[in-house]
Amino acid sequence: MARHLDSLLPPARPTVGTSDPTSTDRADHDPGDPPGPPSPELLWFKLVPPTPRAGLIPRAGLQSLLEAGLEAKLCLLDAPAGSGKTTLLAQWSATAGGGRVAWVSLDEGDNDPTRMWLCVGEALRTVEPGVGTAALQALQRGSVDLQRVLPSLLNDLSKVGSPLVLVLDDYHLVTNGTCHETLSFFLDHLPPSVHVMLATRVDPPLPVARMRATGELKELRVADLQFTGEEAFALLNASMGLQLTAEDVERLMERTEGWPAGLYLAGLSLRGREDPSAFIAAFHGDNRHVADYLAADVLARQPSEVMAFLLRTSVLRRLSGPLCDAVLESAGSAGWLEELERSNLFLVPLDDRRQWYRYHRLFGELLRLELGSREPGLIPALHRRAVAWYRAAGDVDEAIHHATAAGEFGEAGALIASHWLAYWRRGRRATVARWLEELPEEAITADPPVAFVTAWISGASRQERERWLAVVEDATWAGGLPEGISSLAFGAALTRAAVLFDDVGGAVRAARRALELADPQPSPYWWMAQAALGQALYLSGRLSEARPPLEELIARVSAADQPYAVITALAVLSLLADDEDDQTATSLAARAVAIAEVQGLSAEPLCGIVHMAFGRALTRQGNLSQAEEQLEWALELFGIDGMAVHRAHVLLLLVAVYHGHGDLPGARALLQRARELIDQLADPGVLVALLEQSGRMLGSAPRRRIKGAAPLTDRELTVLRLLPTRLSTTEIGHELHVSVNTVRSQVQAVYRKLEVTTRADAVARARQLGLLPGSTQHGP
Amino acid sequence: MGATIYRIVVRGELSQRYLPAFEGMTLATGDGQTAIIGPVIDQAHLHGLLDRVGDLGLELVSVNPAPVPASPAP
Repeated sequence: MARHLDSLLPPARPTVGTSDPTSTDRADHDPGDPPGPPSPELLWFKLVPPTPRAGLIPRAGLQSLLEAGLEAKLCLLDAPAGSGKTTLLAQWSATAGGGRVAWVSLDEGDNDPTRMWLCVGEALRTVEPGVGTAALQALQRGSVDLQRVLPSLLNDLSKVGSPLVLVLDDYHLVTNGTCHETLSFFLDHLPPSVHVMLATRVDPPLPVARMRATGELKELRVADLQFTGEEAFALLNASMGLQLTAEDVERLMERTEGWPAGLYLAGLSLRGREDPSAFIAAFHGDNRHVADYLAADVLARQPSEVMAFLLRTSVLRRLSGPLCDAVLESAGSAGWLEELERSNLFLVPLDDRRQWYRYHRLFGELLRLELGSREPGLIPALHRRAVAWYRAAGDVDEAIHHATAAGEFGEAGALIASHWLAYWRRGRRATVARWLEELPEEAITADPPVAFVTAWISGASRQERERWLAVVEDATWAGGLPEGISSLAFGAALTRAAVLFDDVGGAVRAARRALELADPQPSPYWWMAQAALGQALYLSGRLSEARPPLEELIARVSAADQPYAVITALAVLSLLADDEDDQTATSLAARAVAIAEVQGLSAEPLCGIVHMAFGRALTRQGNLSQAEEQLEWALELFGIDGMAVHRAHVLLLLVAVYHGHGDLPGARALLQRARELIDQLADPGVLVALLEQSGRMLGSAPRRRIKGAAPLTDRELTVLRLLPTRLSTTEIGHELHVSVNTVRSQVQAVYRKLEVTTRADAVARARQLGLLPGSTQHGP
Repeated sequence: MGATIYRIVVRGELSQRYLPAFEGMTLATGDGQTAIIGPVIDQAHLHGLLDRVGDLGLELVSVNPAPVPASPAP
């Protein structure tokens, strides 16, 4: 398992001072950053159910509700903080789970589809070591094309005989739309032996209403999770060793309304009291919020060292002895943690070896509130010490989190500027975006190198990019820069050259300027600028000039070191390949796509040109369905208005696909869209010529036969086999785990190759040709 | 673009130690409830505040923009 877990971690970082050209440390800000990836043990515990505390009361009623939940596909535990969701699931998994529970404790960092599915895949493998091998390999490479990864995982799961339960705890921390969509897809196609349990504070945006209606969903909501009087009695007396009367327990039930966290806090607060009834009466008659009243009391009753430990370590998302020692600037924290766990004070052990803990989430919040009111001045210092520890441990992600929380925006910025490239080029765009989101805007404005990263990362909106570029270009900055960035002007020029906006001539000038400004020593950024120059020259129609810088790049740079530069160069060289040279065009583009996938850049907007080039090559080979898929993908990556030149280019390439399909109206509509877009471009460069070319093509009749046609591809044969059934296109898509559009284009390809126009004719022709078994009637 | 004053009511009376959780807001308690009152810049800010309510295990009673004071003299 450990081998796979490495991939849950940030990408391996090069050692400072080696010859690794990807080393991008901002030397003056970042001298002592230790080399190497963070240690894997920081994350494996996410996949282990929290060990149930000793002396928890069994909640038999709920356990049986959970069991009943297994009859459904999805069981939702949907209730507010402190309702005991995690505890219940952990108890159930330890007893009834029978080793068939795959557990994921989600955290803020998992709000990233690639990472979330990596966690799920790894968790499933703790139960069924054979599943998900291919899917995980793809995910580890950073592949974010989940529509391809998930079917493979689902297929593996369908072969698992015995039932299996996937638990996703704290799902409310996931807000990313792609995460929800992919989980929906996963649920839709879940094999019957697999069940999913979600613990969350808010209803997830999954099709719960539909699943409820079809009986595929069971829910445990706040009312189900409240303690019954009997359970409260057992908790307080049997488990926590108090000797409360039935009347006392009843009053506590009334006051807390059976809220598990409230009752638990009440129990802690009552420990060792001379007169529990008096305390309960006072509490009962008070209007203060239950947790407010009780937490303050529980804390006030702790010895001062215990209280200090609890409060000051509450700034940490996870706790270990050495980390707490560093944050408290003391020794012996490991012993404190054990002691706190024994006295049942708020700690959740994360592993059997008792090395890592976290605070119960609600109590952690209460502790932080208390810290904020007692020692507000200390908080930044605590975070700063955590930064130092995490830096030494090599955990960049946590270091950035604590630096931001400490208000040390300069340090957070320096870390981001030094490390973003390594994350970005491994498909961890969402993680970089999260770092940037956590920083206040003023901090980004005040730190032009970070503004440069933001301009590069900030997705589809042109406005957004321009705004940050303006910050970079207008800055006077005396601070350090990431290694390889010679000046801010270089960073801005590079971004303009790569993004292009609506001006190819401007992009050529920007790329030339970037190369002039670049460090003489070729750095990763220098090669990125070189690739951008080749791309811009091609788009401005200076085809013969475009080739040499790109060929030099391919010859001198390895894809592992410079994935962005190499795939861009390969893609542009593919686009440059002569009409006669379809083979070269295809092989160059295929290489680019393969590298993009391996490096996790296949969903990166700035690498959309890869899918564009591959789509063009496939069109020329007559493989229209795959071509269309690639081009649609590129179109999606180029956003609404962010990368207008690229977008117009893709539209023109799609015209050829529709033309090949024989769909002339569709092709004309696309051509019109492309024309409108091109009309608005400041400098459309070669697109004008391409537009004319496409127009001429549509003037002529579509080619009747595709060059080099036409054995059906495997996928087309699969679709063909479903054509004799009564399944609709949508249903076929469901069956094959692909989108309706994909099915539609595959069906079109089948018709074309069989030279038919209807489904019935296709079936008849396929039978004639022996592609389908005789005249046997297939069931509906 | 100005902020709107919002009044977010939760069950239970909260002590002032909850103030840092709702930066820039004031807490007014009474009748077993707490009103968290203050300027909210936009929807993202409001949702952030509501997330804090959830994180702290508080029960939301109502969320309202505060009534606009009698219309200012022209």
